[in-house]
Amino acid sequence: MSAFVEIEGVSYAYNGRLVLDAVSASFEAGELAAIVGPNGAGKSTLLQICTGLRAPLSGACLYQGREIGHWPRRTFAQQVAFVPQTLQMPFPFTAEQVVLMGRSPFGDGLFESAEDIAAAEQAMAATDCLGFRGRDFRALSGGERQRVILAAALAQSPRVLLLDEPTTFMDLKHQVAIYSLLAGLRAQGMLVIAVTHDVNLAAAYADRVLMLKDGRVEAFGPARDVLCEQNIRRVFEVDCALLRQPDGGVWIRYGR
Amino acid sequence: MAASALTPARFARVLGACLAICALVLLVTPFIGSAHVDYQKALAGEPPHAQILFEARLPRVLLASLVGGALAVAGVLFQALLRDSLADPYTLGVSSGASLGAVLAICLGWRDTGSIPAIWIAALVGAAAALLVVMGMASFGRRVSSFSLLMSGVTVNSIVIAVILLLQNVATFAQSFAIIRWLMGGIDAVEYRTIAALAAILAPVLVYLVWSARSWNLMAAGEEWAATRGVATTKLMWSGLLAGSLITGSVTAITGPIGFLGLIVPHALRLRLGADHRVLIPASFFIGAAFLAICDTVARTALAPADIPVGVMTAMLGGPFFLWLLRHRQKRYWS
Repeated sequence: MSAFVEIEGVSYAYNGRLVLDAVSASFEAGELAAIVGPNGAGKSTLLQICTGLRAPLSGACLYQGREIGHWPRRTFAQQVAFVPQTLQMPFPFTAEQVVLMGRSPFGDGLFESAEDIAAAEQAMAATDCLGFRGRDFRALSGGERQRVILAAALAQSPRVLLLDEPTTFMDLKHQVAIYSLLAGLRAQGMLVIAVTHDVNLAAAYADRVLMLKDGRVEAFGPARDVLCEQNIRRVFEVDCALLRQPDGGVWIRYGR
Repeated sequence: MAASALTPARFARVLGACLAICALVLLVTPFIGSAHVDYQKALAGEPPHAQILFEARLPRVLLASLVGGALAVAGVLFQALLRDSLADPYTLGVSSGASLGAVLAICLGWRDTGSIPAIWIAALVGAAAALLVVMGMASFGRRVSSFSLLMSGVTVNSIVIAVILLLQNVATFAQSFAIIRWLMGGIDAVEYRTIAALAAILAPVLVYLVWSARSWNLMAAGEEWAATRGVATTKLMWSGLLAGSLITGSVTAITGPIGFLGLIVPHALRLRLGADHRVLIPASFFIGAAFLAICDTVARTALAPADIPVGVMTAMLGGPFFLWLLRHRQKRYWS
């Protein structure tokens, strides 16, 4: 019995430079996993391999036991959604139109169904996008755009949600709100994998953490084991201290 | 303001309005001109009213509308394909490529194959070749740079015009007279058979484009965005290139290069109707049709009895508009 998403010895290279070196990891439905690591560690590349946007140079990436490249694209898109960091939009699509694009793997006709519209509505409510649904996507702030992109992925009603630094441009309130939302989705049985720079958000919300550096897995396991002082010092090359909170949580203090 | 989810009712309303505008223009423009045409006498088949209306003006208006609609749609298509609102068959050099194909067919005396004129095939091949050259020049991996795209288009245009001028100088008198048409496009009163043939090529392409419009929405937002939402992006890209070449090639084979229509019409419609290609593609066809029919009516009446090629008019309108768009975009980047 293979895992829900299984990464088996995946390597990848850009122009002959190895960015992923025999990475292996497996994820189960109903978990919230974070991928952390310094710039250039290969986090985004690994996520793109999981979305099927890139094929691994060697090794394999399986979803439900079947190699991702072998899934019909539409069927795959009905189950796995990807949230890119940003979306460069050349045309005046409204926020709601962008969200509705998430429904296109489900419809064959020219028009959205009532079900599509309801799914988009629900996704926009969950990400607090209803207030600017009619505005030009390009006129929104960075954080608002990220929420719209996330809503588009949620409208896909996926079983796996892959996010590339989903909260980079968000204010504190929305960072917390989005991670709480992701935690809620995990509780409903979704597999959520998020690439993030924020080790504290990872520590607070993730079940397991995959730590990458120079394309190799440095650590993979429960968040509190992986996000320890030695690992953070070694991988991120910063001094840090783990502050235990009275409620059992931790706060990672780095720099001064 | 653009609504979001597209309902059949809104689709019908918007297209009904565009169709009404187009129909109005098609009804009115054949009666405008230096010679007065009486509607009732023309319908009764009374000369010269019937001849002027049915043999001179109506075919010209019909051709102008078909060509205008087709070029506006080609503009929308290239803009979605290259994710750049400055793309248009003319600015990309695709019209020029088609022209060169047509001119080569004339100079080399290529024979027609069956019922398909050699010029049409040559123009189609020329359009596809120019498109591939420009895209090859401007793309780096999977990314296309606007700047390289426009530079490549300008360069292809200059090279093609030089080659056409060269061919014109060495051609026979009769050939060189025919070649002029492919330096600056214009609308002539052609046979109804030609108009029907053009319509037969354009109709399936248009239906395909509207039918795949949701995929074009996704593609316009980004190739990765489309791929992760279930679109077979490589297939869509190639079918788009084929559709764009078919439209530009078949139109240019009849009229020569007519520029900037694919820039003006979609831009104006996006401001009014939003970016949804399900509406934008058919609306562009009808409004582009009306627009070129009006331009051509002005072209044949403004300096009557002189007949200005309509390509001169669209370039005089569209060139400054293009510069304004470019300037507007710079402002957005630098501010």
